[in-house]
Amino acid sequence: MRFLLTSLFVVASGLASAAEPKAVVEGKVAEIKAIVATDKTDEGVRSKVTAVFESFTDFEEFSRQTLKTAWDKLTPPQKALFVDKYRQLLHKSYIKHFKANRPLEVVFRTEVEVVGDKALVPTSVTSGDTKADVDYKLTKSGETWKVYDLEIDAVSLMRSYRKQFTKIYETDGFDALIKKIEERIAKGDTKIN
Amino acid sequence: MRRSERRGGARFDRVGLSRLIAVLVACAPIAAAEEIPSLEVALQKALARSPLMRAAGASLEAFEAQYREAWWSWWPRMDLKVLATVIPPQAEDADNTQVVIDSTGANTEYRVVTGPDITDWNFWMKVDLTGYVPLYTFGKLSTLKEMAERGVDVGHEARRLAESELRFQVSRAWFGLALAQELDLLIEDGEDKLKKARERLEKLEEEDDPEFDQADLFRLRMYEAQVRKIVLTNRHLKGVSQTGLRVALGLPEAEPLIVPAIGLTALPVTVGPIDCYVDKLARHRPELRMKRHEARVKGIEVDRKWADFWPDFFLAGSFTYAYSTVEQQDTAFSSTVFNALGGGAALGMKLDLDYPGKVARYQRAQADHERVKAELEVALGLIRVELDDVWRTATGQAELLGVQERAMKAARSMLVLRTQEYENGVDDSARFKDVLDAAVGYLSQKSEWLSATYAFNGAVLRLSRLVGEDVVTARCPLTTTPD
Repeated sequence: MRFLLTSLFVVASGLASAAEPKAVVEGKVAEIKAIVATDKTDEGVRSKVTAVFESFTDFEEFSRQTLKTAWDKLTPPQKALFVDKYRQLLHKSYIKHFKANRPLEVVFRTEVEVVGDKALVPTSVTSGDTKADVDYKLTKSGETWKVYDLEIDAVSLMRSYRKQFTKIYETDGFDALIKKIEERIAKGDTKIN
Repeated sequence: MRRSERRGGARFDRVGLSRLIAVLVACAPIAAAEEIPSLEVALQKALARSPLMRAAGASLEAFEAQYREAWWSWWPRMDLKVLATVIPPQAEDADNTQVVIDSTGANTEYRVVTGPDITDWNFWMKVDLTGYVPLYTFGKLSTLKEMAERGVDVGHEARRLAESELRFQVSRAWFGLALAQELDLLIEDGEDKLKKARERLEKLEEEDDPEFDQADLFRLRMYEAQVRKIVLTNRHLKGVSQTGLRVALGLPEAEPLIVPAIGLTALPVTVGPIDCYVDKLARHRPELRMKRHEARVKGIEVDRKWADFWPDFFLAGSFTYAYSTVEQQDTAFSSTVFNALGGGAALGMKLDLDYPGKVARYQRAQADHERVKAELEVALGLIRVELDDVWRTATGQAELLGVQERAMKAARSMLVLRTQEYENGVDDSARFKDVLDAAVGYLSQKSEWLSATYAFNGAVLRLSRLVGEDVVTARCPLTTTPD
């Protein structure tokens, strides 16, 4: 009997924990869809989506996971600087995909996976003729779940930057890394598409 | 004034002519466009219109008529003959008599007949009714009926065969169009990407940018040729598929064919173990079922030839009635002196005594039966080999489809990664050529994946046609994989 009750409790708590990160993503996706549907200019859309992105992204965790071992070697002011610059770069990478008058269709592909304080919410996004799998990786930050990585068509944004950042950091140091990030932020928005 | 009038006239002529042309164009018969919203609709229309189905339907009707004829052979066969005409009476000469002394010695006086009296026409008629009822034929009639029944079964199988062939043709053309549409989108996307890449390269060249690399330009030309190759292949596929669908639907060349955006997806089926399809083949393949019916017909034919050794017993009857308004009826139809009424019935037996011929025919029927049974075994063996080929193709295509899907997804991820690194990366080593390579790699892999999807669907359609049953709806349980 005790085993049964314990099993039920475990299952119930598992369901609850899976529902929470999914609800966070669902809520934010709904906000983004509303913005894209109502706002008339690309500028307006991007500005509002940036605010939504800010509200459900844990940039410190994003930074920590990206730099991995190098993160521990940074001083608190360096960490704060890095988080700030990286936030701007991520905005630039993520937000550019959103345009006015291009409605989004988002479906939740499979069940949400939760392991400890980490969760994976797999979605598929369709915008016009373009379809992509966008998986949100979330971590429990206090009482809420926040995003610390995005996988677009199985390409992890965090891992992509980790490779580049680590190379620059190990070769030229922290200041050079910050400089490179600033240069990229200052560059034009689009190169190919 | 005259010149002005002439100019005005010329203008009127031109305006009038163009109006006339407009009216003629408007009145010209415009071919109604045929809209095919789905594969199911295409199949229904093809089944309703195809000459293949019409031929099979007519053939079945002929077999059914033969069966009805055989069924009625048990009924009495009646033959009715009615003759009616006008005849002249025989004229007698009242002044010219002849005395005949009969066997009793009495004298009888007859007037001499002088010939037909064509001034006095009278009515004459005669009815002959004969009947024949088979009583016992040693199985001759029942075998005839049974053979006709098998004929109807063959007709049904022939129609199933025609339907199966038509379904295969229509579905293959439909999936061909779906592939062509998908490739069109892919080509559009690829051409757009290459165009932007070219513009970017040309801009770098113009600006004498150090990032410009001639090799990128040559690479771009090679990629453009690759896309062009897909365009040409797709043009062929689209043309063949449209013609295939048009022919299957019985559409004239001039009639436009409207097909919506189909979207190519793999048929929702996992290919099961071959034993299951062997079983389906044996039970459902129309050609095999037809051959089995043929073997049974040949067996019945042997029984029938055996029955020919024995006589037929029957009941026969006849009835005759003749009537005329004259007594002397010496006409071409009847020399009966008096009007007639008569009839009767009799039991009968009929036996053809050509026994050497019967023995030969019986032996030939036996040999024919053996031949068809052997042919059935041969057909089963040949189809079994074909099934092995088709099944292995289908399972292979299913595996290949999975491989191509993984490759396509990997290529897409590679493109996303290279684009991300190039557009938003901070590492200087990210090169434009890497993005270009990734874009063309994705284009190529997606094209391969789409082709694999089409090939898999084609293999499933062939499997369905071969076993005589839709393997998507009538599935086989999954247990084995190909060797």
